[in-house]
Amino acid sequence: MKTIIKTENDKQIKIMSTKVILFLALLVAPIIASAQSIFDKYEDNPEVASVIVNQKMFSMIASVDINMEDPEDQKFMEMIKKITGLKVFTTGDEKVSADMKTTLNRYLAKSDLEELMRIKDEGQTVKFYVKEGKDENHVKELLMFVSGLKELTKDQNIEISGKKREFETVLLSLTGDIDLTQISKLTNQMNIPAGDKLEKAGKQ
Amino acid sequence: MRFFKPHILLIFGFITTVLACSNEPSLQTYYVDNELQPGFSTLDMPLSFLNIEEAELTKEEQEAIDAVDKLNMLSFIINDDNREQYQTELATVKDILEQEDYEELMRGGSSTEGKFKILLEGEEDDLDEIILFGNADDKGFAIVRILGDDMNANHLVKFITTLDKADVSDEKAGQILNFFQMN
Repeated sequence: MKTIIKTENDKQIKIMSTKVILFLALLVAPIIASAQSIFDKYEDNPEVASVIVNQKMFSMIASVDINMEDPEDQKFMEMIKKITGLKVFTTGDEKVSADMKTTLNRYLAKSDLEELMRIKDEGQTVKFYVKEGKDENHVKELLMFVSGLKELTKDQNIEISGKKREFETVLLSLTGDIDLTQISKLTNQMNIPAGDKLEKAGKQ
Repeated sequence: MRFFKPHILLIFGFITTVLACSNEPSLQTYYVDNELQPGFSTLDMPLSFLNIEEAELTKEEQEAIDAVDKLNMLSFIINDDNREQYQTELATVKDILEQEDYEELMRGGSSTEGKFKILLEGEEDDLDEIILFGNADDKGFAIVRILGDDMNANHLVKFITTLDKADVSDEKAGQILNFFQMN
């Protein structure tokens, strides 16, 4: 008799707690959905070129049947599914670059991001910031900031919509449940400016 | 009497929602309203246009082609006289694409050289429509719609690769195809 009561109690508590969670989720969902990134303002800046990829795109990519016998590929697809967004902003303008740097610092000050690594190489600086995830290989957010690219891309022919570009600054933000060990594969696939730098984030 | 009240409210709510919805212009009504207007040009392309040799297709490719009904495009080209109209039309289209029915997959570009947006309508495994929207302030804008029935991501990937086999003589249709292959 006693055990029956206990299980019924448990059941009720379970139902209660699911209700609470559901309620909280409903409450928080619109806040998360409408959460505007501090960097979104650059989208309308005439000196900035941007790419924004939404979660839906990643879930669509993950739903494509690709022959996946390789367990590595499966891992990669698992990671794709968990990405909630990708934003890339690039600019060749010095003023905007400086402004981006200020915005970044402001963002770093008020968020839980910590520096993962910093690379300096011939006037070019690459910084990685991450927000801690469920374990040491996973992060909730990965932010890459590359500055001083101009020297490097001057002699290369990087063309976007038919026009030669010289990048001064690249800001890349990836959110979701990100497996750092899989990150280099993503950049290989997507042809992101300075994507080769991102490879290093997974290799340290 | 008290018993009925919530029901009446519900019905009232339902009716207002339906009315509100039907008042919103959809992309389809925008097409129909504007296709003959000056400044606009349209192109409707049934898939037979692609002249794909059916015998050459694999089963998956055939399935992909079957899932897609047609492509259509509405474009607005800027000239010296219609700059103002461009701004208002652009705002209208943007408003339509902001509606909840259309889910944005990605967007990008720059405001000086033109922007693009890819959206879809329908459920993930049952897509009704894929929309590609691009605009550049010195050229105009274009909306390309891929209309189909129960399309999914697989079909799309196959469809775009199948376009390589298409043999299109018409110059304008060729332009659409180039647009796809560019991306």
